[in-house]
Amino acid sequence: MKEQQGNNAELDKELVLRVQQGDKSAYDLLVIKYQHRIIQLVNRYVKDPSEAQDVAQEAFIKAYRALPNFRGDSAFYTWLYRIAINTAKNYLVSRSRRYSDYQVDVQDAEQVENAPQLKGMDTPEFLLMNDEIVAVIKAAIEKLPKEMKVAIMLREFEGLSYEEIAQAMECPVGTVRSRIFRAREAIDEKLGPLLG
Amino acid sequence: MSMLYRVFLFFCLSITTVTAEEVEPKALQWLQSVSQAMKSLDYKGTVAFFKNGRLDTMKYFHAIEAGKQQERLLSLNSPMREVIREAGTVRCVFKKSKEIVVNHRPVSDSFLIDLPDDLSGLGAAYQLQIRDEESVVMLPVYVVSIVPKDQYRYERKIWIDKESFLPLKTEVYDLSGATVEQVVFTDIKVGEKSVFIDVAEDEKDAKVKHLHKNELLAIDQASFLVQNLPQNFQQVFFTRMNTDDAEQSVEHLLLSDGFSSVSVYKETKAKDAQEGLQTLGSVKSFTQIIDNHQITVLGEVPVKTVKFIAQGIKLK
Amino acid sequence: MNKEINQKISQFLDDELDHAELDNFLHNIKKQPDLKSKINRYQAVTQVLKMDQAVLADGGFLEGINQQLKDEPHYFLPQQRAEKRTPKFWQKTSLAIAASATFVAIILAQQSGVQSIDPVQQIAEVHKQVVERPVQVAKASEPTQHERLKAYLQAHNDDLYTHGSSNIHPFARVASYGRD
Repeated sequence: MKEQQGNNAELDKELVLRVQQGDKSAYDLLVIKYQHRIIQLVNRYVKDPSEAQDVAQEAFIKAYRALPNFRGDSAFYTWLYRIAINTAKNYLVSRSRRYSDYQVDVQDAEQVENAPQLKGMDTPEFLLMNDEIVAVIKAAIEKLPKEMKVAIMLREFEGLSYEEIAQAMECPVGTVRSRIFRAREAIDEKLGPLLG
Repeated sequence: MSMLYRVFLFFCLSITTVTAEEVEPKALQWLQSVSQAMKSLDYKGTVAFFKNGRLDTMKYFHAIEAGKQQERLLSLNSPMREVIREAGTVRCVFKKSKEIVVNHRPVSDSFLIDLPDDLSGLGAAYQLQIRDEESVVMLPVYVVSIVPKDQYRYERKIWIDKESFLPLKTEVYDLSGATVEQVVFTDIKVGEKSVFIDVAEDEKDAKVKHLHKNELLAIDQASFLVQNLPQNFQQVFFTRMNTDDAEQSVEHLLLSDGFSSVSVYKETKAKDAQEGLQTLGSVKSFTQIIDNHQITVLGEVPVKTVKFIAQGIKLK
Repeated sequence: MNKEINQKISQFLDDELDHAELDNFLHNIKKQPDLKSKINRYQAVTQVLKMDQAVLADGGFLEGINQQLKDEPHYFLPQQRAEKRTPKFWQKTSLAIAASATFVAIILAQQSGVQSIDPVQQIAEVHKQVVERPVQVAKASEPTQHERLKAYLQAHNDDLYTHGSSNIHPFARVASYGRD
């Protein structure tokens, strides 16, 4: 999956700069933008969605405190990603001390896949919610008009920029912008009652 | 018990008693000697100033003549500058740009360390402890810790030259024990006469800017009241500073406990004014918005202090 | 109006928002905090489409972070890590050791007739610290919060002299604040 780099890094850096200059609310936007990705990432280690939330929160708090040290040499998300992984690993180490029966592998995420699970993530509530959300989103996408569906899939699956999508669909950038937005609105109409 | 033994016992107890009583008074005495030495001796050397993660080294000179004092710093790094303190003003001469900033009311009394004028009241807020004896620039020193009795201020340490009573090193620590500031001589010569610099000479071809020429005002002229003050903090001075906007002025009230100082600024609320805590290195600040005014309390003190003072500010 | 801001949200998440629009966008988010839920849901869609599953932040995620950061000051400058001070002699501060080592080096150099080494260079090499980031001056004519704080600080103490930062121009400060 191709990740769009250019504007991504610049906008994030702009937000970081605002936070560094005293605008805490700019940090809210960074949190919302990356919260799901970081939770997803952390969950690969901790294997428990509610603990993944806590660990992810801790990662964001650590990142906030470390922001004055962020110089922009790497993209903000890359930097945040490393903080999140370290936080998750530290959490696993401290958890393994608490539950000494379990040997927790703190190597890369691929190896952690085989680590024993201390808490089942397959709680009925979690599975139900997870499945329902996925089902609702997929159903909503299926119902989208073709152009909107193609536009949003190219954006989300392929990670193409608006410019690239415009070229692929042979339409103006403004049209792409509008199609993606309307697609999201249509899905949101179904998702709103679930996620609030 | 034999007479000899009784005498011996009395002697031992006397020494113990004297020693125990002398710990704090001795430290106080040393600090008084430091204050005196700083004002009355000729000395010079190289001083490293460390603050907010930044290190700067400067040549230092203290000259006295016929009761007059002059303290001078000469930078070794850019921006190249010479700073001269004399008769209550501080001149900062920027060599490259030929600009001079004259501060008519510097907050501190010395580039090295500020000691309270009245040391006798120190005990209310601080405990003085004599630590080890060490060496600084290969000279034997007494080490005095100035430990706060509450969490409204930071601990500091002074390394005092045993012979001259000059402060060869000082450190300030935050509540977690991290060093937030250090001033240390890397070489020193005591007794050697330093030349008095004629400050008027520098001003001839330079662009001169004067700061804080505005008069001090009576503290009760401030448009706000400070209702929360930690132990030993007193109001030192009050003034109004003008900004570019002629209709606006910034009120400035300085508070101090002798070591730690805190400033309170009040001005019209700016568009981007934000309430709450902010830090600028070791400086903590807390901004409150009251009606159409923003009040900022800042100082090299713990967060608790700026918050406590700020939350007790009321508009008159 | 809502449709317009929602479209901006969509662009923001795709990093297609113009820098010039960022200020306005931030302003709208501050004014209408429920827009954050909208951003949250849009992001959820992205996450599900990419990963085919949903391990999502719950509604209180951001609030939880803000609660913990509520009493946290805003850090304008890099923070020093606290070093535990103990009376053990080998745990003296690194600065004192560097200063002593530099002093010794200077003495040795002088004794051997070698041109004295630059003590500043020595100390600077031992203590590479992160310097203060240059302040990005806002385009607006009013000083920013950061600039205001720096102006306050310069009126508060005399650090300008001993820590003359290369990005603090004394006349710029005087021109905007404390002009007498």
